[in-house]
Amino acid sequence: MNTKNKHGLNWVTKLAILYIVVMGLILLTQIFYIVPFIKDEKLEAIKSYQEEIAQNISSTLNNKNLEFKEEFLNIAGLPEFLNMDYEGQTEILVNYKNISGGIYNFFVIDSEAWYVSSSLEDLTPWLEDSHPEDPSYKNSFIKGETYYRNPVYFKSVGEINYYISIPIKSGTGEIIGALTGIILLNDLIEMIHKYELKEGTDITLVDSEGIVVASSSIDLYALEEGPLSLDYSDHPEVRAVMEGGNGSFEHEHEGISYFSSTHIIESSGWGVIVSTPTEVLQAETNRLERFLWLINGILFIVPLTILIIFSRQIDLARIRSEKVLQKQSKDLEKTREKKLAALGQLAGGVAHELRNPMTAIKNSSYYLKIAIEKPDTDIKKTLGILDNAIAASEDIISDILGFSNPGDPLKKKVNIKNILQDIIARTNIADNIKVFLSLDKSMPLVLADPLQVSHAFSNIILNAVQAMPDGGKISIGYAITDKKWLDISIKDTGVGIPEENLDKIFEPLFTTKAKGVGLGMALTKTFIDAQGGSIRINSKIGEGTTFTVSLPLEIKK
Amino acid sequence: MKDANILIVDDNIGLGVSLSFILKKKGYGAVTAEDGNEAVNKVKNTFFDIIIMDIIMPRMNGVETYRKIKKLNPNPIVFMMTAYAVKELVDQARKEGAYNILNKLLDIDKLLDLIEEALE
Repeated sequence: MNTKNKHGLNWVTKLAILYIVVMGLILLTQIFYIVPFIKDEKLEAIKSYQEEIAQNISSTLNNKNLEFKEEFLNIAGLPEFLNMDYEGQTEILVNYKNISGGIYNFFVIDSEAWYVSSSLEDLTPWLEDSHPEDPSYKNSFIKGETYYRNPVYFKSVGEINYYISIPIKSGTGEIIGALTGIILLNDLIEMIHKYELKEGTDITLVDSEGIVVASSSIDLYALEEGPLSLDYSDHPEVRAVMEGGNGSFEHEHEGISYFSSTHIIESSGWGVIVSTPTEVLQAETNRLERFLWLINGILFIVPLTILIIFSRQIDLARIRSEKVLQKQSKDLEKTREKKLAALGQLAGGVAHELRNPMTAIKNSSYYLKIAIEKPDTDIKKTLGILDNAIAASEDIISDILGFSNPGDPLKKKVNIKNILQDIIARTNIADNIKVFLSLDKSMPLVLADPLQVSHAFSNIILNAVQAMPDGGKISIGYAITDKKWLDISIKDTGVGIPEENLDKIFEPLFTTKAKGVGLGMALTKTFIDAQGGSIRINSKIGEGTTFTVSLPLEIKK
Repeated sequence: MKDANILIVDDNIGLGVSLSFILKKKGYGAVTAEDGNEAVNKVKNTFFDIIIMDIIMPRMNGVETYRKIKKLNPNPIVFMMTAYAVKELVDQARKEGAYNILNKLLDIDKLLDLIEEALE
């Protein structure tokens, strides 16, 4: 089975090429469509998730710790409060403290900012006096609205509080006092700090005026120097909160681009902001992209490598099997040559042996010829038949022996013309065959073994005659090539030799005749080669055959 | 010289006998021997003008036989016969002094001419 054409690729290589092309197309599609699409989807997913976080935190905080606002308003509207019955007020406050949770304490001050009543059993000295210059008190009367003060960091206590102040109005609408409270934000902060976020993402809690209440990026507890400015109201994400928006957007701060998601806590108007630098988001999608390319790479390279290895294996196997076949054919050739040589030896031996009994036969025939005094016609014929048979046998023996052991040529100066004339004279050439000898006197002599050369030309002429059973023409001519070769051509107008047989003609045992060993032409070639010459053949069916024998001329020194 | 005596030595009996018939018909004396030893014995007892001897024979080849015969008859006229030219032996035979080398199948007419020539 041929796995590879002489100039082609094996099927695995073709498959590999196809694979490369297909993968190439897939990769291009991925580059321009699929990967960007996946990246966008991923980015969208990340952003959605961030929005979800904001929403979740917002929901969690919706009623937590900020319920106090409602309660405060409720308390402030109670008739008991309006009557400024101090005992009554204390009782109410104490009850409310326990329910609300997260509120540190709250207390009532009168319109001149004197402490009136409180849920506290121990009053800090700070609260014992009136502090009309304290803006937190003053403002409550001036604003006339619920007032939140910026969170204050109490270093000594290690906590962050909010102050809240709600004006208490009389029946006529006159502000007669304020319900003030301190709200502890620690658990809020704890929650935010404990929220599991991916690296780079921050959660910030801001109030409706843009004051940072808590942030995962600022460890408010760690502040040693004192409170930072927690007013982030100029930040776009904070502005978004203050404007009451839920959503996501990109913004820049100090040269860094961020993606922020905001969600308003319904109960308080505070906002949850979840923020991630866009670089971090992109890093994540980039990671995904790299992963996709890695997969692509593996999908591309691994099968390709396998195909290449496989292809190589096939080629190697093919080469190996070709080598094996070549070796086999060489071995076969060698075996054939050995067999041929052995056969040649055998034939030679047989022929050799045959000569002895043949000699006895020939002698006997001769004797009968001289011993029978008056042979009748039949006896004469019989003796003639004997002689012919003996001659024919000797020819066969000569051919075989000549081929198996041609012997070194005994070179002499030879006139080919004479040799050819002799051959023509003694060969049985039919009358309907004309022989034209165009060898003039200027044809040079050659150095050759006359017997071997004669035998060689004899075979050729015999061939020519046999090729023209219905008559024809034999033309013999010569030419000199390169001043080195005498080319003698013997041309007949016979049946011609088919092309496929032309290179077999000189092979031993090749014959198209019914009789004959098939050694004649082989022997001719052997003899011509032995003189240092060469022989070639040209033939066309129906037109004839030309044998050209080249013999080396003496090179004059 | 028609009463010349000729010895034919060849392990091929038919060959030898048929040749002897021819020679006898032509008026010569002809004797055959089957191998070298028989030939040497015959030479001891009889004088032969010409010896026609096969080169390749069993037990003792033509050249060896020739050497042995030379000890008895210093200058025999010896024709060596060969079915095919075994170069070394042929060369040796020539060196020993063989008169001629004859190829089998024998050209009888040529042989008869050579015999006549040799006897003169």
